[in-house]
Amino acid sequence: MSLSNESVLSYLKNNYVCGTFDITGQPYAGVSGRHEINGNAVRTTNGAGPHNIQMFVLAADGTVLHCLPGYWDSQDLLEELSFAQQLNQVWLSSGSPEQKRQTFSRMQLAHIAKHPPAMVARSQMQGFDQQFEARTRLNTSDTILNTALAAQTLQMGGRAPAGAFKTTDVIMHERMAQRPFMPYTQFDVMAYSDYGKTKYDKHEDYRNARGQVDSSARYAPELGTKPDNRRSAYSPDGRIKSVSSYLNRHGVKSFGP
Amino acid sequence: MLGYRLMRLFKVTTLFALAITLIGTLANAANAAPGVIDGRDARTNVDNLTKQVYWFNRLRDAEDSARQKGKPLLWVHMLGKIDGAT
Repeated sequence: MSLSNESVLSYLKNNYVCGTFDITGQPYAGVSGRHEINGNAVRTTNGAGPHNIQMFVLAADGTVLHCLPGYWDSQDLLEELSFAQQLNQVWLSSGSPEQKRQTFSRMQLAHIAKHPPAMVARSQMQGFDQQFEARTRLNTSDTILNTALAAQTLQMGGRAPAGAFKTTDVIMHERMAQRPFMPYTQFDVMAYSDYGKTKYDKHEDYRNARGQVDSSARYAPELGTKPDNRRSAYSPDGRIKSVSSYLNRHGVKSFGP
Repeated sequence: MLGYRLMRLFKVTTLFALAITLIGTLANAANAAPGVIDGRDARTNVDNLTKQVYWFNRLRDAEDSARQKGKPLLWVHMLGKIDGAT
């Protein structure tokens, strides 16, 4: 976890008050494998798992200064926490609310150009999230830079060519620029953190020495908010609509003599 | 003579124990999958995180503290608990 990095810890102690909120059951929360406190952990790319983690930076009055969706590398997290402090100064300064909002949006967009190449490299969207965006909202997703290139991810074994998708650092600042100095209670977490699959799990506790995921991982316990798909299998009078899907879900692959 | 032998046996035993420990440690390191942080290290990280920084779990209390200290607030949404299963 990047929060436990020594530099981040030191920075937080000196500059921030900290708190956490368990989003299990919230409508915007995704799904993740359950990881016990002694379980393995994994480093991943910036912005991975946006439905499962959102790191808000708030002014003391609850105004949203910044929000980092998903995991972020410790160096990049420090950079963004420092940036959020600049936004806090704008919020606390004299000036009209409209002026402050304009400054906020301008600063958010300008910060994209300040990201070092290494941070951009760490901000490539996960391949399965790219595929999800291309498959479900090819023509409407704000994560896609080039529709034709993004569509290539839908081909068998397709990988996104360079320039098909925005990086997550860009997506974050662009979305924040559209939400200048909003009260936390009115912040649309669901829309803000919505890109890629709602389930994110690297199966850290089910990897062998070569990093391959064991097949038993599919039965691993999960955390989060999962839509109850089972309801759709029943008709309004409570009868099972599809016998084959019912049997499949209960592990029966075939039956009869 | 007996004392010397016992001393030598003790040294050999100690060396053997050290070797076993070292082999075990190396084997554990070798078992860690690429990019995966071993559970014991992850636990140490979590302990550092929760011991060195106080984590509020009520927003109003955190905002009060932020106001008193004149600091912004890092408010982390997460699946699970920072000091428990996630």
